[in-house]
Amino acid sequence: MGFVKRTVLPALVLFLGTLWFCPQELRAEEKSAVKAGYGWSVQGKGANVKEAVKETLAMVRKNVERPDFLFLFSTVGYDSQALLEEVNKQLGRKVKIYGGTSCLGVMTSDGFHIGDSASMAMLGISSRNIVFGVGSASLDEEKTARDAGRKAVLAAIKNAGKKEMDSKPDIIFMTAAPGEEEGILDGIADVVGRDVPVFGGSSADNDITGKWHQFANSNVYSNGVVLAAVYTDLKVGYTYETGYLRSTEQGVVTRAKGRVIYEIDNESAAVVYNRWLGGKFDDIMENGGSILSRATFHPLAKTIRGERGQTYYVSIHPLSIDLPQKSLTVFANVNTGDNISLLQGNWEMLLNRCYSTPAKACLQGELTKDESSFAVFTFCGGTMLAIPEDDRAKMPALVKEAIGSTPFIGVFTFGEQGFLPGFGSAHGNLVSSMVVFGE
Amino acid sequence: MLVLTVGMVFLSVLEFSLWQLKATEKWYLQEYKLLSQIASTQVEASYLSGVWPFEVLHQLTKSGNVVFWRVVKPDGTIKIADDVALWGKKVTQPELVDIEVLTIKESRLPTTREKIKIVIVPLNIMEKSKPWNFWLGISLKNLMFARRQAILTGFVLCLVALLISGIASFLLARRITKPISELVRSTRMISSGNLEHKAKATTGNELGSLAESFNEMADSLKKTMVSRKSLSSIINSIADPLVVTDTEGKINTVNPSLLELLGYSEQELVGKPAGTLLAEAEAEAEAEAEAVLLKERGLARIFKETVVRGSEATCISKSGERIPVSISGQVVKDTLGEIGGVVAVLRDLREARKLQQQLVQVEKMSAVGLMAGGVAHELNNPLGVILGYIQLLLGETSKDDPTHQDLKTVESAVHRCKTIVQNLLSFSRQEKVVSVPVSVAQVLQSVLTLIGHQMEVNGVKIVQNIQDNLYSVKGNVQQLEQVFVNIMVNAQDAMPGGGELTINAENIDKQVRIVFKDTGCGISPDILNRLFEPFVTTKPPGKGTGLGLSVSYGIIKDYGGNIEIQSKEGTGTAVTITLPALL
Repeated sequence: MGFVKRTVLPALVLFLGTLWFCPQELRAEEKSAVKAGYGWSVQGKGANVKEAVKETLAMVRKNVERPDFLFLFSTVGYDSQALLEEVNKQLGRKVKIYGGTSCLGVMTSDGFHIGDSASMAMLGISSRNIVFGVGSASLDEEKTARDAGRKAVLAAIKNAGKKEMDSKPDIIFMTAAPGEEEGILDGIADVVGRDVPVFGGSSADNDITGKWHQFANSNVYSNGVVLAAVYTDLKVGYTYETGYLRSTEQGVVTRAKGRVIYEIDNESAAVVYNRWLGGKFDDIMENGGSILSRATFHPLAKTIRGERGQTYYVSIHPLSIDLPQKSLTVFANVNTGDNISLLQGNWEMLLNRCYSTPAKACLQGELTKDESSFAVFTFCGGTMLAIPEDDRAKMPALVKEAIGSTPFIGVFTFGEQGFLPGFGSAHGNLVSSMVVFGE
Repeated sequence: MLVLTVGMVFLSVLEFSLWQLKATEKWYLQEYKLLSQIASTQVEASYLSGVWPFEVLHQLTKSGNVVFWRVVKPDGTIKIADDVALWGKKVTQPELVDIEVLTIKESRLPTTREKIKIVIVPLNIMEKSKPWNFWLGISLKNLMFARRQAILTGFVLCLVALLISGIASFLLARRITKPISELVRSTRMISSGNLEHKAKATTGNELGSLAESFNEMADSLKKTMVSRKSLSSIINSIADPLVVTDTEGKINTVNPSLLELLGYSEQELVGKPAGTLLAEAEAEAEAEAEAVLLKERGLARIFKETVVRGSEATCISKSGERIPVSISGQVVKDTLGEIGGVVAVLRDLREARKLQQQLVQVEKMSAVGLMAGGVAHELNNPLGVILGYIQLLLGETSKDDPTHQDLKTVESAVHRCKTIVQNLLSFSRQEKVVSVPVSVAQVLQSVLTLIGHQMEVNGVKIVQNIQDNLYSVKGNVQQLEQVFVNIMVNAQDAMPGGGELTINAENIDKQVRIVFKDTGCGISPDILNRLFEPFVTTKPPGKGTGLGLSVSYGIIKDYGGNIEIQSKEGTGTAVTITLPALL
């Protein structure tokens, strides 16, 4: 009994006292493997960046006091460098940051956020079950996009505290400047192979004038690639969805280079495309010009075959009709010999993807709403703009319908990357993707 | 009546509008019921495909009348809605939940409290054997607006219709009443005597015919009747005073002659009793009696006797002068024989009376002259005998003989008698005188030279106004001098304390008029008319014979002239002599 009085009882009191006075967060982490918190702000740019960051982080900290990793998406209304500096400053310690600029607004579980001049959203993660590593490269500094991809993924792996040969990341998030995404994906595949899913979207601005930026920890790129390599033993569900209906119009690209399709079935690509649409662009055929917004519901689809015979249709957004060849400039690389077909859709179909894409991701990851910890939703900016303004608020609502109260962050991009089983990661347009983490 | 009509029209419009609106509301809800069913079918089909028909629902909300749509689960949870804030929320109204047949419920929007209809369609999406519901919130705002517009439009149309009908009625009534008014005006014009007026026959209907008949009647009247204007002209042109009364004896019409006679204006007489024209009742008793009598003889008598001719009466002028008149008149009867008044013509008798008096005087003087002449002639011879014998006796007696003195006295008396006889003969114009052209001016100057000085000594101032180139007259210088002296001496005697004698002599037409006007004591009216009679004098006994003026009268009359005396006691006397000029 004396031993009990002198040794066991004090030890028990000390343990209980420690348990009682330890941070609430620690006690919560005992219950859950992942803590995720989101925040957002629509306060303006300039002097308000500080307040906006403060407001956003305050919301994040309601659920995760000290995040290890931060998804950060903002519109181009902010000074990106100042924004990133302010985030680092207010976080007060070394937090890995991954993100980029979004088209027009951002999304969280609270809704679609679009301020008078700017908006931002953050998703903070803290989990002993996830290791993040952020790597980046400047496309301007590397010889090729592929080199940049390779460099960035190696940096990400290293940042995660892993070695190249240790193990492959379970998933990689990608944010790059629009233009050479296929090359970047090839570079990533060079390092980690094609079986590591790469999800993400190309950073965007509001008017396709190149004001986009990419965020990597404390670095801001205007023409770079930022990758986040994720190592986790959690369940991960993902999907990459075009969401259009195929038409019967199809052909073979008989001449193409990079993102310009010159000929389809040995005929000027624009002529063929316009014919498929019943002369929808007759008014532009004469002098050429942008068809970006008018082509949103009528994208082309590149047929991709998986190694086990799967067939995927990756949608490609036509950008313009170019003279004199009457070629089509698109937002994804097309190769001569690719099968190409015409897709049809409407904004209702695109909006409904806000439900179907997350729902399919959960299904794919065998995650229920309750099991989901956090999610990252990527939605084509062009597609978002095609949805009537009054109905855009339904996008996050539909996401919530699919994943319940799971915290998520959403970004609107100019080109989306996703994983096609049997083929690997691909770059497409007008696509939505979802990555859900759960226990 | 108009208010009742307007009220009934408004009520009818209101009732019609309400009936129409009920029908519209029924049709309106029927339409949205159908729309809800179509939308619900879309929801069902889309749900089974794993999507939501956002485009269709979006179009629904753009219709303007759809305020919201919702997909509600049987437990009241809102699955989706147009407002994402409601997603996952519970419906607070249990009566709107778990509806299994198509239902239309009434509710209000929580924000604006606007009254709405909710069409609830059960979906073929079952949960625990209960259907999900599709809600379509229908705003009644536009319907209400349409209702107000319809009522307002109805009222406005009603007002416009009333206004148009009012204007039309007014114009129609005016079209009818204007000719009638014109006829009435024409009637008044014609009744006021303007027979030249014509009624305007502007319409070709019965009123036009009436107007034409009216004009024909006016023409006929014009032909057969003396217009009032003509009557007035006739009355005004009558030289004799004329008065017309009504049945009560009040003056209706007078002519300018009457106004001139009595000195009144027309306004002062019209409407007054006709008795106003005659002697006042307040006059002296005798005059009053006379006035009453005259009145009786005058206008009143006309009423009694219907016709009166030459009845004498006395009118009183505005200045109070009594004017003798002769009244002739008769009652005026209308076509039915009813007495309408009296019309009377008055004749001024003053001149006639004066002439009558003069005639009497002349006749009297003529008789006196004849008598005086006869007497003088008869006395002249005996006086001559007496004088002859007296002169014989004188010659037979000495001057110292007392008889001689007595004979002298008798001789003087006889001479005096002869003078009187001579004067009487002069008065009676039986004296033989030689008439020669005589200058009146010279005769006057001669007389003034003779007695002018003595008169001035006696305090009489003589004022002469003798016209140059005064006509001469045919007569005897001595006789004329005698006349003038007589008159001037009489004037002097009338002004014992002095005074003024004005002598005016002038040519008037073919006559010479000489006026002697003194400022003496005047002559009483009772003597004035007898002054030219022999032996009539106002002088004290012994001062005059009373033959001066008689002789003057005889001389002047003998020359074919005239002598008049106007006098007023206390003021003076004017003697006017008129002699035919010798041209």
